[in-house]
Amino acid sequence: MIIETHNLSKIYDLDTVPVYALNSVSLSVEKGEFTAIVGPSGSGKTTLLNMIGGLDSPSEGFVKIDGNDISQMSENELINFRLHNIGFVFQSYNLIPVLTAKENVEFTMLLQNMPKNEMEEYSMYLLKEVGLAEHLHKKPSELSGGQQQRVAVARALATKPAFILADEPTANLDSVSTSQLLDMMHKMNKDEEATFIFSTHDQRVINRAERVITLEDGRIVKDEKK
Amino acid sequence: MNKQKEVLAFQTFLSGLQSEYIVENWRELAPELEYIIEMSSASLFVVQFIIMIALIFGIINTMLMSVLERFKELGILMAVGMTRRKVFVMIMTETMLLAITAAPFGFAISWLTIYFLGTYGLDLSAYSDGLSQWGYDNVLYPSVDAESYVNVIAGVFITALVGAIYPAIKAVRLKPVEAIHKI
Repeated sequence: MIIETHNLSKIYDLDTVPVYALNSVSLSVEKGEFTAIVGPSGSGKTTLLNMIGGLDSPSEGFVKIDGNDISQMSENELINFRLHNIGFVFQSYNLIPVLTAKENVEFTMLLQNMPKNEMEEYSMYLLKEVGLAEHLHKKPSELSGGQQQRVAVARALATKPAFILADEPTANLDSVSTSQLLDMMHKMNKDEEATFIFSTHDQRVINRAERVITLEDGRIVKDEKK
Repeated sequence: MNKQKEVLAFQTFLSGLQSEYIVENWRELAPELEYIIEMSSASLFVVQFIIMIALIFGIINTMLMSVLERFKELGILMAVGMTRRKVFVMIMTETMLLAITAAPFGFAISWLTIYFLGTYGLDLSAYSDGLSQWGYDNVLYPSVDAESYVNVIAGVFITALVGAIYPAIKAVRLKPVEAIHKI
């Protein structure tokens, strides 16, 4: 799976004073990469992730995933594409509050019509992998921030996506939870060959990334592989 | 005798027994009363219609609040792969469950009220002078036939479904990217 963006721009207020949230961003990400997109607030990190994930549409340019231009897809095609190819981890966890940790993980598998046995087995495996085997039946409100984010990572991996987009996954976590989450994401990256692209301005996360793309004012100013 | 056919048949039978008497049914004796009853039925229909309209707004209000409160949650569902059709069906199903839960309570309260009044009567003796002029008894024993219950319950479910359409459309039109970042 290769993710490509070509001259990707997002412009707000086209009729008055145009504001470039993203300005001609071109990049490609290979399968299995562990990539961090960094930059100050307002540099376009979240906008870029939203466009790669098909949550937002570009004003100019396109996003191709394995050669498919997702900018040309209809809303329903995009939803289906996201379901089968992309896992999301959000800054504020965004778990479904009325569901337990296990149900949250199983939810996307349910949407994929996965057989019940397989669903049960895989959700248990994932929650065990993220260290939450003891908290299967707890609702998000009964879990700490770090635990909720680990459920979110398990949910993102549940559909066996081609890549995972994480928008500032450690922003609301303490240093211990951040370290645990990074260890876990790294392990998933190696064991499951899951491609991770995450936005962050947390130095601890940047230190663990294998590739760091720096954005400023909507443009890529640095792209370095370690 | 409430049924018009039975009344007419009995009237014909009585007329045949004693031809020197004129046999009239209550409609012929008091046509103004029949007119009042017909007007009451028409006004009852109008009242029912107004109640159904109020119910539609009640359902719209309830389900719209439910959708707006869960704006972020619905955005997440769509972001992780729930199709718009499924979101629409979910909102409609929630509304039906609401109606299924509420309708039996309404039915039970109505049935008990009618049963109580039908058994013990509604004493209107304070208005006996006026009532007797129209041939009414002082104590009324209301009854509601099964068909009316079925019609009203069916009407409630149809109204609930109609009322849920706008909130469901509102839900499917939301943009996941806006909903997710909503605080």
